Amino acid sequence: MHVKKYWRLILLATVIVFSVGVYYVQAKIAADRFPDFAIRKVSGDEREAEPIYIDGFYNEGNKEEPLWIRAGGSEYWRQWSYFDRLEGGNFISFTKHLQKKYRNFMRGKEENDAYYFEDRDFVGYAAIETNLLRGFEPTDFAFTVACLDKKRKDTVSFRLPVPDRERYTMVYVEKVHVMNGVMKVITTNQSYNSNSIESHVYTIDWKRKKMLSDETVFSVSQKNGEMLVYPVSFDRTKLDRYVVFSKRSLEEVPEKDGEGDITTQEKTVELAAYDLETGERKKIGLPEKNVAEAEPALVSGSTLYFQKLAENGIQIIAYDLEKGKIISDRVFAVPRSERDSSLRDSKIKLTNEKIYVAVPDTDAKTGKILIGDLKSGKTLYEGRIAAKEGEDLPKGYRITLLDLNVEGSF
Amino acid sequence: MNKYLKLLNFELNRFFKIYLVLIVLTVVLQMTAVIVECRQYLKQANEMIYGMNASKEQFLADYGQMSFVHIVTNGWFMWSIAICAVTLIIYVFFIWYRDWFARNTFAYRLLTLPTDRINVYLAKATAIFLMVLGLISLQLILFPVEQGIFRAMIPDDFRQDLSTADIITFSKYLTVLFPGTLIEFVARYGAGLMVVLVLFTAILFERCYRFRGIFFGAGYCALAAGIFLSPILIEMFTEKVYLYPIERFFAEVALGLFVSGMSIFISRFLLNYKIRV
Repeated sequence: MHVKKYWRLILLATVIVFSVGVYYVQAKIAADRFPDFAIRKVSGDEREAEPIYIDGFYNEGNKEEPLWIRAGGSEYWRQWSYFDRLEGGNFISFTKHLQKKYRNFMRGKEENDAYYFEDRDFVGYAAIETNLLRGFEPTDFAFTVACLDKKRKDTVSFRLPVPDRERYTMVYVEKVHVMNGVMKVITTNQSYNSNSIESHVYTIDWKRKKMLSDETVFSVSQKNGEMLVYPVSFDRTKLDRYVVFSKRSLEEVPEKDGEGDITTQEKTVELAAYDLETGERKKIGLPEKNVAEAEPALVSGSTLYFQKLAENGIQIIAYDLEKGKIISDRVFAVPRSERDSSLRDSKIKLTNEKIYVAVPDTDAKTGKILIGDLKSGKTLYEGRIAAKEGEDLPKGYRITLLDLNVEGSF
Repeated sequence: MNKYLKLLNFELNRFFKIYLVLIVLTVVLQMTAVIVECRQYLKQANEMIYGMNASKEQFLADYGQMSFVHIVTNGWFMWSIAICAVTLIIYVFFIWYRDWFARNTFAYRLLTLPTDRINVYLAKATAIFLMVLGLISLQLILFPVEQGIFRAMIPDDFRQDLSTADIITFSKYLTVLFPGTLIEFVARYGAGLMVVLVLFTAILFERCYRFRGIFFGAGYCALAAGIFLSPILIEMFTEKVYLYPIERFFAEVALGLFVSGMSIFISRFLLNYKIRV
């Protein structure tokens, strides 16, 4: 070949490969230079911290980068390959877990953990699906229901209009439960003309594709102050028989030491336990003011846990739904250190009979981790979130903790 | 292969003068953008600090630090990219029609070369593709140079230094040209090459059937778009999502290869049997 004759072609091709290559290699190196954060043990059993998965942000100047911290180290969005990003990274969710196991059944179903149920025999799905072209069509709410029989490898799928749907402006599916041949769909509905929020339990015969009943557990009007109704969190993998609905009032109160600042104070007004097996509803009495101010945080078996910020940690009150009384009232102390922590910004997760707390320090550079046993009240693990030693840290960096997830629970 | 390379080299040489003009224009316009933006910022700072006796901190609080994002969103800068883009889009058509309409029918000589005629088509497509990537590379080489000037003009305290990748992310529009990952880069410019092949086929339809060919060409473009976008179109019309994102990606890669292959195949037929000079 005559190199002289082709010099333009050769030059152009070389410059392209070289400059594009260098750019993407540099971008990769820059992405790997973000500081690596980890959770370091202060006391307790190291293994307890392994399932923790913290969602957050890393800031430097006006740069902001999604960040995930685990016990062993951290990951940034920018470090993911394009395929990782398409798959949603190694994001932990019930939906992702189901997608891996039942790829075909999950095809085309919306990604929201609340829409799914799984036990030994069935996978259930109920959602108000959004129309891709037209978006939401108010007054046209319909459940898309699907059920997979694992043993028979049989899928039932159909649409069912929401009863009285013309009344609602919004229907949120909060929980799906399959039991004794029926599917229970728990929703929060916003009503149009009465400006109210309602908690509903719909019972669907998924084999005959019929709506059996529509029960309203709570209905609050927004006329007399701001009110909230919602089902209390639960462990998706546990299949507990009780769902607890909480009715709470929001009150705006001026802050004690603030200069005219207003904070909203939430108070539990009423609680109701719904038995998924029998369909019975039971009111839960609130014995003490103490409990009213605490937030109902988890239903586990027949125990309802309330959480509340205490002076030096998180107060957890356990209430037995069947016996109707408080069985324990404890404070899990957040570990002390030379750094001040902002307890108010704590991320608390109650799951698998354990409490997981991530508390950011006020300088937003480090944080604390606490894991406790809900039953015994013992502290299982104390740790610190911090950049790994030897990391080259830029001056004004900050981390923001957004959410705390625990692997193996959803 | 040798004939193809010769033709490719020939096409590049033919465009070389216009290409040089584009390169010079890009450099001049972008340097203007750097200098104009930096001067404007410094003028503001001088007016505030010396004219109005404001402190440095106060100025920074009001106006913020200057970053290179200001420069890439400057009009001069964006014009440089727009001019290059438009020139190359026009050249997609010009690269064929000049052979028919320039002095003496050059197309006749091209098509009677002792080689498979599809090589002419492939050489022209590769030439366009390389010229696009060449300008993309020019931009990647210019970034650090321009950042050097920017750093020299703006004092440390007033300057926010960002990496090229950050500048591209913050500018928003530049992410179209420089996607975040190499896989996306290859996929995007691969899709671009496919579009060029489809347009070339449409042009050949017109050259073969003249007036009627315009409709054949337009129809072919619609067909190609329909095939390439079929996974998305099916989902839109049936209102159901069937594919996981990663499956959709590979489906698009396969369909893109199919459409490119189909374009080459049809063009080969047109060039061999239907072309009129």
